[in-house]
Amino acid sequence: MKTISSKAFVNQLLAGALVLVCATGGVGLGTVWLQHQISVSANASKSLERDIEIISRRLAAVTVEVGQEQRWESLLRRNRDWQLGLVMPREDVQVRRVDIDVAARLAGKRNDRMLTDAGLPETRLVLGGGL
Amino acid sequence: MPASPKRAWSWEGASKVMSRGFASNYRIVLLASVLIVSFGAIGVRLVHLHVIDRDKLLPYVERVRGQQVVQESRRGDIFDAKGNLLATSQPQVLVWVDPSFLRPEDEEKWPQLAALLGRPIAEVEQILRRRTRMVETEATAAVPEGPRLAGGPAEAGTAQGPTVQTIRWAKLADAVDEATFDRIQELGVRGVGGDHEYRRIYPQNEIAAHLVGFVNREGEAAAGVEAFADFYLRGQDGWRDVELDGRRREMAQFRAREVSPSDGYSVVLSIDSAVQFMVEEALARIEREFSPEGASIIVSDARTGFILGLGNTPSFNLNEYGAAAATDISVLRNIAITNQIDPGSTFKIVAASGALNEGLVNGRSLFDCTLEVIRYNGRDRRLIPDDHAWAHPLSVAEIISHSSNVGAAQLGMLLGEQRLYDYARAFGFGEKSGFPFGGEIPGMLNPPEQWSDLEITRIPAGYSVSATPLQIHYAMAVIASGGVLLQPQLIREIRDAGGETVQRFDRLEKRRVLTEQTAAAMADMLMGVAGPDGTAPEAAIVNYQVAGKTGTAQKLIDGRYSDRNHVGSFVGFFPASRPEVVISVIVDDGHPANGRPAYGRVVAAPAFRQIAEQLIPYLGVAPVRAPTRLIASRQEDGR
Repeated sequence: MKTISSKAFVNQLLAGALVLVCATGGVGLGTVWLQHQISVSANASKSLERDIEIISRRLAAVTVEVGQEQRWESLLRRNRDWQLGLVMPREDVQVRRVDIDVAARLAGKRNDRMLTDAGLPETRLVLGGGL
Repeated sequence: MPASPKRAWSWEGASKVMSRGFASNYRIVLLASVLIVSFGAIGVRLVHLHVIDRDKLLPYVERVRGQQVVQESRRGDIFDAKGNLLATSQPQVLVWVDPSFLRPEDEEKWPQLAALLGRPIAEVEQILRRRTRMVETEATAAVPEGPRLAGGPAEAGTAQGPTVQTIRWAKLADAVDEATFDRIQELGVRGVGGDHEYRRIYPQNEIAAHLVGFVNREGEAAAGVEAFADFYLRGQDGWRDVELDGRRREMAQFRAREVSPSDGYSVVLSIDSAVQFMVEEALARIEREFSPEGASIIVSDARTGFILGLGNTPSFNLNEYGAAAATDISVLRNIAITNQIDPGSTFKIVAASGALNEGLVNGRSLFDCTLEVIRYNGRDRRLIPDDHAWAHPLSVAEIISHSSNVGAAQLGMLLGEQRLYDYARAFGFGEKSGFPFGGEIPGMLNPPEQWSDLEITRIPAGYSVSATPLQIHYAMAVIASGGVLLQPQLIREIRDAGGETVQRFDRLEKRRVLTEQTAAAMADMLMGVAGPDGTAPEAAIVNYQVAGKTGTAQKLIDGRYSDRNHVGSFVGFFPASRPEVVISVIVDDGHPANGRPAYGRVVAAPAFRQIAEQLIPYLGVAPVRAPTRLIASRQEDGR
């Protein structure tokens, strides 16, 4: 009966250890790669957050500028500088109040001709057929 | 060629091969031993660091690597009813320098840096060149006195007297806009950096200054809507736990806990910038023409009680509140709610409405207004004389339109002390209106048991009683609203950061004061004030029914009513039979040209008309041609 010598056992142990180290190293390297990918993704996410923040801040700055330009003093100055001549309508001169129901008036204007004979072509009926 | 016999792989065979390669050499045993010892040593060290010294080392590691970063939230905006921006947060950058990082080769860029910062180069250079500062430190240990160099912040308790400290942070500018800061960064001056922050800004400057209020430099809401609606406006700062690498840069992958910031809600007011601008223009005109001590104009919606515009003079620019406060802090007060004045004749609506509402008088009731003394409760009471001698007895409508003190006193006496007091309270005098913008006072209206004998003749005419301009305005609004005292309101909506409405405010009635018929009758009578025979024909508008009441109260100066100092007012609404807008103009101690007394018709009625004429086209107020409210209510009653 053949037995395995002690040296051979050590060799087997070393070979096994080597395989184990390689396997563990592989797992380790994979973990490192994974960590790196997580880091890359996290940094990309951080960069996007920063970009969004910058855009939000820019948007806020533009909103302020628009608000300042919509001041009454600014609008009046523009009206004057650009000679736009925009003024409030004057009640006694430019405004004409309509007391009647505008919708009814427009409907009447549209339907009057339809509902009277005035808008229809002349039609003559002849007994026995034909027009 | 014969095929070579295949030898099957066996463990024994492999062992034999290996026994020849490795194990026969003693060096492999040595290597294995070294490896085992090395791993053992590392293991021991790791156990030492992670288990034995853990409690000692962990706080240090957390302090060095860990950091909590606060993420600033943005305060909500304030809008007017038409969506115009009244208050917002502007992004700005606080630019600083760490002089220890400055490089000599960047010195040629300093003039450009100074130009971008808007500061003289000499000032900037002084900041950049200064590397140390002297600081006083507390001492416990006995250390020889005299300057010494310290690398970082002063170490408390190590030295006494001045210590030289290296400057690691100095401010260059505190309100640089984002675009300018980008250009500063493009310069690439090492050691110059910036902190982004939001600063409150008011694009409309002084428009509605007393309503909008402001946030002070410490970021605390100090006045107006800013303070009242701070709960909604202020956001919730976020934070996150991060770890830093050796260069103090955040390692994003190790973010542990994170709470996102939530921006503040926006507040939409009922005021309209256009109406507010009309109010401010009218105030500027009053200021120019009459140089008053103060003036207030209030415009509100007659149907809902919402304020459309409210302004005071003197006022201030919201973006420069600090400078205004340094000059005269009283300009920050909203005198429409913090100052009390004698309402004068505008108070006569209380006695007249009360007497009408109680059925004590009607349109045909006549009063002798030539009396100087009247007997009341068994005693003679001296009356405040009228300016005119009346040739005939006056009706209630004439008492109002001619503003007769004698007539008002008689109406008050008809009501009696208690009922007059009750009606005055019902109209809102002597109590806070509930306008929640800081510093409101209730005015003064004593209970009848504290009245002197003369007060029944004085109070109906608006003396011996004090009120804020807002109280006077909403008392008139009772008649305009059909007899209901409305809650003064300014906030229309609350919107979240996404623009969705989360809360909406509607008309709020405090109580019914008069019947609708009485209110309509009063409105008809008040039209006489702006009529040709009334006290304020200056308030009349062609084709429109204007109802209102003038008021001219002598000011109490050094305990005496002055003949030269008056509070002139005009409070009214239009169209009288279908009220849409209530306007109050109150001018405190105006000085008209030619030394004329500052009557309400002189100092206030023209401003009322000016604003009303501008509001008609802007709000689209149509003239009334239909039956008036009084006629309509009489038709309903079958009278």
